[in-house]
Amino acid sequence: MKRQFVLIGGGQTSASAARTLRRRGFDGSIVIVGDESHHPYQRPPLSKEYLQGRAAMEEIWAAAPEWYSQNDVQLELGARALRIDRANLDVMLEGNRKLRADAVLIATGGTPRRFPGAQGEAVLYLRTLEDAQRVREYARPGRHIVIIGGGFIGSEIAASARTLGADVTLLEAMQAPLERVLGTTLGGVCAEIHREHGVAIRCGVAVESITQTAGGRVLVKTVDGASIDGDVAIVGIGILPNVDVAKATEITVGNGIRVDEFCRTTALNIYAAGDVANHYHPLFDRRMRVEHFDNATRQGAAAALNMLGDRTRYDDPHWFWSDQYDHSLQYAGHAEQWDEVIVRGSLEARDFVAFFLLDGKLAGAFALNRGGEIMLAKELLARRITVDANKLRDEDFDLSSLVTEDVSENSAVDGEDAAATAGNFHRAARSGQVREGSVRRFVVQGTELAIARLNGKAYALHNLCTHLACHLSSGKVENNGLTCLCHGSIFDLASGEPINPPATRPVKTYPVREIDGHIYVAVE
Amino acid sequence: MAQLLDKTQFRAAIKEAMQGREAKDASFSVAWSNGHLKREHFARWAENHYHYVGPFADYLAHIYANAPDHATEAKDFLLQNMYEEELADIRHTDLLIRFAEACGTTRQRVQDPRNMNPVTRGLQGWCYATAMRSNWVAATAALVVGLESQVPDIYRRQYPPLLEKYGFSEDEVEFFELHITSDEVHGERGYEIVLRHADTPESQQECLEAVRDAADMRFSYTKALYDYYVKDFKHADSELAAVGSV
Amino acid sequence: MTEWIRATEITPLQQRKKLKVTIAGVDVALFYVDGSVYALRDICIHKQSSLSRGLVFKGKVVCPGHQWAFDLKTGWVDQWAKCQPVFPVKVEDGVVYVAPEPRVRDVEPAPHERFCESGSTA
Repeated sequence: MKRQFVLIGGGQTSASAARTLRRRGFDGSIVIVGDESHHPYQRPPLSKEYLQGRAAMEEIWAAAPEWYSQNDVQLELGARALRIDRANLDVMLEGNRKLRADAVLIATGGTPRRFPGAQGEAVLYLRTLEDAQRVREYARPGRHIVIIGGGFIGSEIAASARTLGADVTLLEAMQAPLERVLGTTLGGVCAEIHREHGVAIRCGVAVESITQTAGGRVLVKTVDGASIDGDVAIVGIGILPNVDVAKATEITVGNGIRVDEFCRTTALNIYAAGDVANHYHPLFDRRMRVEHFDNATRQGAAAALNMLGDRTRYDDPHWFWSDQYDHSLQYAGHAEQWDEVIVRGSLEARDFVAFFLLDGKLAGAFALNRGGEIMLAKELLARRITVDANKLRDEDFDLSSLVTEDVSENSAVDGEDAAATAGNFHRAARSGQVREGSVRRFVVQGTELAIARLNGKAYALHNLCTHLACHLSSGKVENNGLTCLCHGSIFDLASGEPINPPATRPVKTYPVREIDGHIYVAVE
Repeated sequence: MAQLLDKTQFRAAIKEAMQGREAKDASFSVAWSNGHLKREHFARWAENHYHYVGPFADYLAHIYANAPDHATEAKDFLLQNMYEEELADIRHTDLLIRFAEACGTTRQRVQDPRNMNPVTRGLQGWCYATAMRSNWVAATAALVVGLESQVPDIYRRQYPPLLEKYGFSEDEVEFFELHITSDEVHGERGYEIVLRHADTPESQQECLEAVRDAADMRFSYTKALYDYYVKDFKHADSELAAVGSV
Repeated sequence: MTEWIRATEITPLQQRKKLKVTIAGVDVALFYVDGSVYALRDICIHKQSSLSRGLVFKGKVVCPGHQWAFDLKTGWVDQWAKCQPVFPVKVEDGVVYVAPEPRVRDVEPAPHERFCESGSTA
């Protein structure tokens, strides 16, 4: 019976997972279950080009609407998943429907955090297409928009609305917008940019209440007693991960759905990725949950590979961007704490990369109008390269010289499993599965192999003895080679040559690489 | 006089015979999945489990010998099952011992029959007796359907906590991962053989009883693990003390 | 008959590894990698950033705007299944020539069509 994979969540993560599954030749059924009525679309444009009216629907689909039917991906739109039956993996949908599944991906994203007590049509949030359409109504001259929250969503809405001519007030509780990510100084640079464009930005003061007044306007009160009147209040204070399906399925949650570096939840064959996934990150050796679009794409792809059985560690260094006015803000890495910031370039000229270091190690980098060097920062992070503060600061020093050595198998440039695409190597097993002196049977891309370890090194031979096709994996690893159980033929592990009869023909051997605790074998 | 059931009814009856006595619901299994056990409990589990699953190839060999020549598919399946257990990829008991070592016990202790509790000893004995003396179809029903087919369900619940709650590595718990997929297939093939070869009402009833007994045996085996090692088992002298007091 | 337009002498390109030139009124980004020259339209198909301000890495040019990574030879970006226009290039007597007709694919290129580390001339 054909396999069926169910992807719960109708956003970029599921779309990316579906694309990856088809790209990798998965020929089973794929069903995407989304609670919105639209085909999966990208959310970043909702606060930027879509809000500004510079992008039509066609440009913001996660995949063109025809793609799904052309690639046999079934869409269940306007459908809500309730829970998953852990025994048989059936996905229960609202309305007493269920979908059978061989593997499930939960990519349910998040819901904007509500400001307590704020109610009414003049209090808006931005997450969906409909939200963006409502916000658009107010983004025009003569309207006053009060934005609560100076994070990326708030900052982008401020920039977009201001560009369209609306009056904008931005309220941020911390000392500067984006302070948690960038620190006070760099956050201050961003605040200046807003001020220069005429945004009334107020930092260091928390909002006490948001109330709708008679006439449909809003009144925003801050804790220091000030009151701000506006046409609309837009709240951007973060999202809460949508963990209801996981909780109903008794999967471990805590700041999102907990997954390991293979996107696995605590339930077998159930994966999670995207905004909802609290993932263990091998590069930063910690758990984190991020809301980057790029993470939705790459983690969705990684989850798909793992669902196919192609074990892939998800250790992408993380990257996101924010376009505000005509400035390009980009960030690579994940620095929750830092003790040093090195600036390469000029803050005044608004043309720099700031490197965040903790204990001398690079943790993150922020670039204002320097997108080229952000990719290098990603590579430095991915390869854990030790950085010299002076070299980072020195604009005459070419940073790409630090990463031209092609030592690592990992590349932060594209999201594909680098070891797999480099010369047909495919993951066969964990190193720990093949212990010293043992031989075991694995199937890689349809080829049956005997993988043995002798004197620390792993070897891969075709599993059938060239004498009478007995399984070599049932045999023994001895000092001179691999002995077939049936009639005593012995094969040299490296060359496959028969060194003891009755076999007379060599058995095929395959190139092996061991990287990061996994054994990869190159098969055609 | 019982009726001969058709395949669908017989399959449903077999499933029903196992209901209400699934080992996954026994106290030890529940404590396991909820994260309430300690490594030493798993070590005791391994020292018992080895003596139950260790001879599985033996049990199947007896059923193989009792099965008539014309039941070729069934015989081949039994042979294949034995081969997989011991030789095809890796000896399953080696994986079990690997887990046991990660729990702080040794190969010698695991393999020493003196370390199993009396209920485990009873289960092992029952498996041998069923395999050697029961009608071969009933024996298949008991061991392959009643016992082996439950394994994926049990281990599916027990495997993730081993990684997530108890902190074992994937290599240390490969025993469980392997059985989730392999026993799924075996269990299903076992069903097919029983459905095909239990062709009289008597033989069907015999199979249903065998399945019921197997489920009871596994349940009590699992429960005993809790009673002996987890539940602060009070020793005999405290009973004497209770009797002696006024 | 291909019309070849003189773009630049090879030396400045070899020194700086990348150079922006104008060919028949269109900005073209030239990249010098492993002894070969590659030419792609400078303005990114995504949000119009300048590719010549990006970086070349592992056979791809990464746009500084949003990190879209285009294969040097075919212009294909895997992650988005789209194509940046590429131009035919030839080097003769130390001079780089570019033909003004861009090539854009609509299907994913095969592995042998992409940039290959063992070296290939455009």
